[in-house]
Amino acid sequence: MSEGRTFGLRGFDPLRMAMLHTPSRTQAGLICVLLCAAFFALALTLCGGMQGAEVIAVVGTLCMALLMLGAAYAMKERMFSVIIWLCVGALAMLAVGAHLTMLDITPGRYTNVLEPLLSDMWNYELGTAMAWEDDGWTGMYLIVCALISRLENFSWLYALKLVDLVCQCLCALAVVRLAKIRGAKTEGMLCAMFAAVLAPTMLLNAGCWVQCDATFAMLALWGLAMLLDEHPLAGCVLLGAVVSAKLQSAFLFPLLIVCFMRDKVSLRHLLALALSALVCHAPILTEGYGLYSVVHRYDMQLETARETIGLTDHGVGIFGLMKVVSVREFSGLGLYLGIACSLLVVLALLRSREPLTRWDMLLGALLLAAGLPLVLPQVNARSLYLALMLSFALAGGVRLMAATLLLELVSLCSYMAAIFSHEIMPISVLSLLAIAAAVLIALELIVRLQGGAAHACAEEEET
Amino acid sequence: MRALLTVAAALVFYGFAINARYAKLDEFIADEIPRLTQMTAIMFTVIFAVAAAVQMRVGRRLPLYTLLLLLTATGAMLLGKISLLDYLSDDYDIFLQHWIDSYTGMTIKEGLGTYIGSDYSPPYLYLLLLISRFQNGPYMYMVKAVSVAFDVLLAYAVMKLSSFRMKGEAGPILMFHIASILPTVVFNSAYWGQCDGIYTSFCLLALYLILCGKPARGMACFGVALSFKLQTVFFLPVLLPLWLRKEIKLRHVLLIPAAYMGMMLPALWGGKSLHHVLTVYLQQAGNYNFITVNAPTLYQFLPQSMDLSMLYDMFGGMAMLLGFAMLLLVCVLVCWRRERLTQQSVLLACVLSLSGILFFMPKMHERYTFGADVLSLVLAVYDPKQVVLPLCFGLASYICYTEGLPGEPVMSLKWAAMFQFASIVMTAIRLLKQLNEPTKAQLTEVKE
Repeated sequence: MSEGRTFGLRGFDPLRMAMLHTPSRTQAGLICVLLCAAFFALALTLCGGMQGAEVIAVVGTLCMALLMLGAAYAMKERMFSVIIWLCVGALAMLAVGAHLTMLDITPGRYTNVLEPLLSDMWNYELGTAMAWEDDGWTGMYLIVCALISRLENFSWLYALKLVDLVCQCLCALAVVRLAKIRGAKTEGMLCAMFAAVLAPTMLLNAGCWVQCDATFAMLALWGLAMLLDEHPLAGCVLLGAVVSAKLQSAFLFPLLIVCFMRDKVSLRHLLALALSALVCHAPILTEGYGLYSVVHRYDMQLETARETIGLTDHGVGIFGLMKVVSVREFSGLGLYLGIACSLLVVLALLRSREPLTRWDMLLGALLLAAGLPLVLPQVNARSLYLALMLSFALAGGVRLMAATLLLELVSLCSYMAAIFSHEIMPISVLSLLAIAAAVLIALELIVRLQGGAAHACAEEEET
Repeated sequence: MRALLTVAAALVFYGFAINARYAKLDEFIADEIPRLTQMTAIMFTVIFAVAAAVQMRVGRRLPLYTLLLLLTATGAMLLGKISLLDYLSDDYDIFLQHWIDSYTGMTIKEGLGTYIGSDYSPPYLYLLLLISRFQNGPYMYMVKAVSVAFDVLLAYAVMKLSSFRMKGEAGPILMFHIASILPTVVFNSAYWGQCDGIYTSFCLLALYLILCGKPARGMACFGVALSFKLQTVFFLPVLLPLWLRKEIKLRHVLLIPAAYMGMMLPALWGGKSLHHVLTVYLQQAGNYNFITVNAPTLYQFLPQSMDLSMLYDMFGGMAMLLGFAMLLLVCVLVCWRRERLTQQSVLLACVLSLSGILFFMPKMHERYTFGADVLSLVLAVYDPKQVVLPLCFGLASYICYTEGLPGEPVMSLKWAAMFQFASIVMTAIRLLKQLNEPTKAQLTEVKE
């Protein structure tokens, strides 16, 4: 036995040696390329019977490459053996593969909403299609839809799902970046990234339900990452683009006040934000609708939501704890309460120690993203999407881990109710769980800011 | 500069308030609507201005941008409350409206002296009489505006109590805002138009004044609170250890009845009998003979199929004695360890008294735990982990509120009772821990 271990060939195992070998950067890159190539071949074979199998395989491989890029970013601090790289690669394959397996699912949302929309768009010029007057969407997502409507020999359903898949992978990359900002270790960053693509709600959102949350979340998360990484211009441009994609992105906007007051963002950055939002609405403006029409569309979105869904559309929060209430009265209350609460978070951050750490800012962003949907009216089952992405990036301690799990559970149950009309738990219980998650996040923020509060007080007393 | 900012903010707020939707005004003739809208907007602008002035005063050393953010938050909260004004509660529909209507045909002196069939104490009726002076006014909004105005006082008291623990200015002002948007506070005043905020605000102010070494003013505030509502007595057990420790003297305690009688003077001047003003609460105590009226109490565990009145006949006596036993328990606890009382333990004892006694008492309404809901928020300032207390107390109360408001309750009231019980146990454990800890900072330090 000992002979074999020391000199002999009996214990020699080339496979094990290769697996335990620590590759150089070039070798690691080569492994990634090989894994992507393998995935492409696999996808091409498995999707062979589907329309546009090559395109699906190419996009799938692109997503796989994005995830490997994220993994490489997370693993660059330390050297890892080949087996680890292979496992990470296999996970990335599984994540992308899981999304691809759901390409053929045709949800009611597609047949009832998206397909008619795309068909209508197809009948018009591209410019007109991009400026489509619709209650549901504005700016960037309309542009994406208009472009998809031009596809002749490829399924629109696949195209929509593939766009979402790419966006979700980009979200996962942003999550790695944000996890890095909070100081997560390699394993923490990897877990966060794979949670962002493999969590049940993430799989259901894009893969099954053909929702567009990944599109806006990608821009919002990258915008936030850029903002915190001392790239305020890029951050503001991305946040400007995101506001054109979805109104929910405004959850993060109160943070701009903090950045502005802390001189991290200047007026020109905010102008860039406005300009970026305007550019994303360029098709509407060039079609001659005017600036008022752009603003009015958001108003119209809210009005339609108020009329069609009432106070909440399977969304959890304070309205999940109310049975019979007037939509008009409580919509007003929720809206104003949302503004007040976000300002209170901003104030708490501003009155903390100087300089405010990026960790604190991220926690503030998480609290806003997880807390505001709980008080705002007309939110839907997907309103915690951004919060979930952020919580994956921040799930470091016990409190935040628990909050993440709660948010995922609540979202999953809401999805089941919204997609399949299947009630796992009553909405009142889900609302309480969501509120508990928000409280845990708030508690974490308070504990972090408390040390700083004393410092700020001392300063106040000095002045 | 700050005064200018307050005025400017009030003007901006007025702009929003006047454009809000006041559906109740649709019942008036069209010509009247602009005047009534203006009147309502002005009322709430005044409330906003008072809240703004308080913040400007307390946060005078804060930077201007912070004040601007605070004023925006205050404005948003108040506008949120304005959006709830149109709900017509049964209490207003059945009682308050008719009392105000009765007052409109009387002079002030007649109004003060007339028994209009109300079992409310005279000071609240003064407010209704005052409201009735505005001929053909938006009375429901005015009743709610009074309650919302006292929310400001309530939030101020919470802010002052928080300032014992929170240094600086921004922290307490944040508590001012959080207290204003507690679910039960919002529902109680702006939606339901109830007056629990009035007596609670005076009680909390009294507690603050006593804890900061001004017992005479504190007792006067307790007297005023007592003149508004009997539930003030649940705040009083904490005075016992303070009296034993000579923090409060007997002459201070005498200020409670003095202030009470002071508040009754207008009624006496108007012609009400001394017997009436002294026995108004005894008359109240005879009403609502139910074991519980949607309150988060022990009696929610009794069979719901049985008549609440019959349950009162069966268990009312026992319930009353249990309530008094709880009262004595709290008193014994705080008197036994009176030398170890700290600000936090006084507040804990107060919350225990407000929640624990009510948990066992019969005839309790859903709104009676209002004091515990608000005061437990201050406990979270002392230890953020205790944030679970305001959450559980608030949830228990909220579940009970939904029983009293239109529609089905959000959960069975048994759950409210369970949440309430869990919160009481947590408060008691925390209090015991506090009283058994070797004290570093005792109550007397407050006087420094």
